[in-house]
Amino acid sequence: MNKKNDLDKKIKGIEEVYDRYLNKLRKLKLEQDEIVVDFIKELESKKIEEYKKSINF
Amino acid sequence: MKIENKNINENENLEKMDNNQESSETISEDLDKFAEEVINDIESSSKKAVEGSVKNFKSSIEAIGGEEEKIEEGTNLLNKINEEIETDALEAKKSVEEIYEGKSEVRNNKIKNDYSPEELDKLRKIKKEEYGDSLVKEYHKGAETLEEHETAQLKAYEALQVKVDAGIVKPDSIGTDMLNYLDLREKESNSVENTEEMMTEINNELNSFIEKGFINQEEKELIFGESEKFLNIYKEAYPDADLNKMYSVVNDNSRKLAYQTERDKQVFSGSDHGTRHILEGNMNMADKMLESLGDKVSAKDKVIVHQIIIDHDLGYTVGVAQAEKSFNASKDHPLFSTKFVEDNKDYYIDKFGEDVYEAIKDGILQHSYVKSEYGTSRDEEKGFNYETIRSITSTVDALGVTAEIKCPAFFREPAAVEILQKIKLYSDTNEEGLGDEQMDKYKKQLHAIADKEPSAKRKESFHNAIDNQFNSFTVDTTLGQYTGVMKDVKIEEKNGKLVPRIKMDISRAQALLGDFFGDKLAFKSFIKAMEDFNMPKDIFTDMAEKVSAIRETEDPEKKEKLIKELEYSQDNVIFDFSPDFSEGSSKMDNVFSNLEKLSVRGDINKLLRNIEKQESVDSSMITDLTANLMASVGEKLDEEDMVRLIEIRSEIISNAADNDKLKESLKKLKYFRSKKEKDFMNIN
Repeated sequence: MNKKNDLDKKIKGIEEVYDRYLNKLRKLKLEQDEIVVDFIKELESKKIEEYKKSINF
Repeated sequence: MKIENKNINENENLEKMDNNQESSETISEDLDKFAEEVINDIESSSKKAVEGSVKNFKSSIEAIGGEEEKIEEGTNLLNKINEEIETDALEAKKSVEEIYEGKSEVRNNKIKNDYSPEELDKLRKIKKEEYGDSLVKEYHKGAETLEEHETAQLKAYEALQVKVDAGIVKPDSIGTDMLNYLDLREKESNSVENTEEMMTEINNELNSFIEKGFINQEEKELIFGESEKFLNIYKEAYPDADLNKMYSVVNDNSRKLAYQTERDKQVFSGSDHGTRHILEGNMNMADKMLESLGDKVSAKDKVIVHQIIIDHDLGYTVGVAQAEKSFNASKDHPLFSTKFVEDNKDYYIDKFGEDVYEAIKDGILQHSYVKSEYGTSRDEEKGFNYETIRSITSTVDALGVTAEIKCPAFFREPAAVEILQKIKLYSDTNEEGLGDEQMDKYKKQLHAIADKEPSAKRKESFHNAIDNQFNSFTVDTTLGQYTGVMKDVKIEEKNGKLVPRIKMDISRAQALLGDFFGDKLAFKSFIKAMEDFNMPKDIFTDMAEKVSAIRETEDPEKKEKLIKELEYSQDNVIFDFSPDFSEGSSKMDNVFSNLEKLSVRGDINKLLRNIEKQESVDSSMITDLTANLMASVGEKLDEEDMVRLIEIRSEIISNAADNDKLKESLKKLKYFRSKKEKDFMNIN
């Protein structure tokens, strides 16, 4: 029974570590997405401004 | 089993683990497989995230004509995050390997959450009869000294295991029950980046509890305030604790407080066991005591005091303690709270260390037995002073006797207190007492008040509590809480020893409750507090006499002298009573003064007490005494009442010489009810 408990504990322990890792990974990926979106937005608005200028808008 | 990653079929593995019949060999094989798969997934998911981000970014920016410079700028930003991803993956892999190889001690760093909704439901259905007698009551029989009580409590705790094994009470279910009632079972645990984010998460969660009707705004503010305080002392006591550990303990404490507040509305035990008792009462007083001790207390002392106070009454939430009329089980709540801590030993050791775990557990178990020992030194190795912690936590709990820190939410409303007055007045003016039928009528009135509660959840709890928990004990206890106001508590030196000085005000309601329902009720809160410090019983008589003399005397010098005498001290405590007759709250004072204006009870009881005091009586003495009564009740009676009272008076005077007949006539006076009183009590 004790051996079973030890193994159970190990599985739970690994589960906790994994859980934490995945949560953090999810968060960091969101931050990356934000960076990409910000850059795209910035470039697009810059292009729109340039286009406006080119047609003397 | 909360991992969602689809690459790993760990659900299947873990389900197998739950099967007790399964051999450890099979589990061992599954562990090998599980650990390997987790490590592989950490490697592949981190690699994918790192490589994918830069690749996707480049292609997106190129597609819309972004320049090389811009791509480099964005790549640098993304690479910073990538570095973090790689570090996290390495650390996670290392931790998994260490756990797998047994190099790192695995602690269950979460509060146990092992019960199914069906199992919780079953526990909520356990009846008081199944629990039987209170272990605390049984084992403390004959115990007088503090040492005897502490030993008895340890024995009672040992005996609890039989009831736990029989499945009658399961304190290890509290964690699951908490998540269940707070609707958090499906909520994923978030990780946070900094303490600011942590507090935002906790604040958001508390706000969601308000939306769901578990707590109200005022309770939320109190809980959030405690979370901020706890975070600061925890950071000071455990400077090396990582952010997630801090988040976990502060968030769990916030949940425990919300849970106890929500569950408390289910019962009318006569006392609050939610934020009012825990935070406005015990924690507030404990902070004052800690402050008065200055640098004699460490950050760890403060953490332990706070944790004991947060956890000490968790035992009240278990199914059988909340069952109908389950007074025996609820008396044993310190045993259940302690068992909860022991059942979550790994969690507590993970958050506080082994020594502190022991201190928290013992402090909770003994919290009802007042210790007053502030002269010992801190154990430098452990970093805390257990005697001081034990003394503070038990002292503040004993002082939870007055309305502003102990009265349940429902009875903080004048309309509810008015019904308590009706019940008390009815039972005191009826020879047979209250009776079930009349009690049901008053319960209906309480239900009508409960109906006005805006939160549906809380409304349901109040109805449930009125039906299952409300009784005459609730009435006496609640009214008794309005007799005093706890003003201050601090530690000071007396004859070279540190002792607590407790300052309590006597409220305006106290006089009325004394006149109407006797000194037993009027001094209830003071007696309860002083008894816990083992003060001699004759003090109460002396106090009652002095308070009454202070009220009656017109002489300022005499008054001042008597007030100074209202300080009672012994080697473990100083009680300092101030007869300012301060207002608890003006709206509540109105409820008490309204009763005083309409009822003749105070006048009649005064006469009865006067007659009782006389060694012998004759008709002329009775004539004089009753004349005072007739003079004082005039405005409170209509003509018919007056005629009836005159008849009773004549009977008392004519029976003055015959003791038995006099007793019978005085009984008629005792049970005399005026029209105004009957109207107030809603009877014909």
